Amino acid sequence: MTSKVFVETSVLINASVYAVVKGSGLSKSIQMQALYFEKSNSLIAILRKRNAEKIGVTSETVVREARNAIRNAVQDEANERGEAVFRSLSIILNQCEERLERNIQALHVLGANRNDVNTRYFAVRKMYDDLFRKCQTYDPQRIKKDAIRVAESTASPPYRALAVGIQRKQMHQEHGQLRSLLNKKPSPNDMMFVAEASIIASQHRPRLSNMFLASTDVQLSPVTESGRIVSCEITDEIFRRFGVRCDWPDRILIQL
Amino acid sequence: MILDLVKISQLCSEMEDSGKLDLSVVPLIDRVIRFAGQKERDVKKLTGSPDDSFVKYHAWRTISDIAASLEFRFENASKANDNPQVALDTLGVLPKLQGLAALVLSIENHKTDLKTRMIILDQVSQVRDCARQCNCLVGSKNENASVSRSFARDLARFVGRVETRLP
Repeated sequence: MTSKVFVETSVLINASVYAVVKGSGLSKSIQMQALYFEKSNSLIAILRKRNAEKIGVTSETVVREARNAIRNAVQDEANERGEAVFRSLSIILNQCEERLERNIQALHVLGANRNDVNTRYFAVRKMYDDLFRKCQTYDPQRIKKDAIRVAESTASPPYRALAVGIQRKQMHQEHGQLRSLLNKKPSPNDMMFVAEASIIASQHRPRLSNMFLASTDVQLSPVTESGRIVSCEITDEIFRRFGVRCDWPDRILIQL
Repeated sequence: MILDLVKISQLCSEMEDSGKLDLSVVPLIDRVIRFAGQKERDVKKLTGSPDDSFVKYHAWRTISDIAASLEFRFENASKANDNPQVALDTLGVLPKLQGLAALVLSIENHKTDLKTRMIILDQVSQVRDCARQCNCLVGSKNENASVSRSFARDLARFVGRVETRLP
């Protein structure tokens, strides 16, 4: 039995945005990296090492989106700051693109049947619509009511106010991933990645034991705190409906 | 510029056939470097939108960097026993370099839209890949030696910018 890891844009970008420069114009070397560089890069490094096993996979959609994200960011920066930073941006773009291409080479870019993916995409979109309706019911008023109800049945009167506060905080955390849909809906490409990963998984079953989707996006991967999962309603629903286990790159790494 | 690249290509083909190094290629490469360098400076002065100028700048800088690598290799070919490999490698990278030069020259008086800019950036990336495979690319060592003190700030801002660009 084998596992596969579908690497989506956020991980590919986080593993690629890194630059270290030591030059005569500088007193010491400079190193900058994306927020989740360590987590993302350690996963890609293992996938590169085990390249022959074809564990790490991705799609053309991801590759295109990753390249565009870096190129768009450079152009945004050029627009805002003008010609004074052209040279720096040109160097940064070269370094990040070279790293991105190396990271893409560590993965197998698979082309799933477009018709199957499109059909699955609509199923994924329906899932997010269902979850969005569900998250609307978890408004602060509803959470407060639920917290009071739980506190009334579990805490004695002198401690109820305290218990309500604790319950509210817990419920906010517990439904945090679902409630994130209120502020930001997933992009069509995010939904496409779930569809693509799910179709690739079905192409490789029954030999495939786990299909992971590596992401640093909390609308796919669970919300964690010090490595511990605190909210995972969307992640669980994706797994239940499509058999794809979304998770953070460092958490997937220890399961490989 | 294009004519110089064509002449360089002809000389390299002759070097490949004869197996002899012909250093008359060096002044031609030098002209390419100076032409691309001048274009780099010119596009910085353009009054249009900076993203348009930047993409053109990036393309010219790539052409100038690769040409500088070629010049270095030819000048040191005898010492490094790099002949006829240097001619073969140059022939490997020239078609793409010529294609990129023709593309940026064709749009130098036009304001580019996002789609065209992405095509140019894609071509730059392909030329660099090809140059790297042919050992015709200035290493990051040389690039690093010329960065300014404000580079750290530029880099930090870029990292933040990419994060906002993540889908």
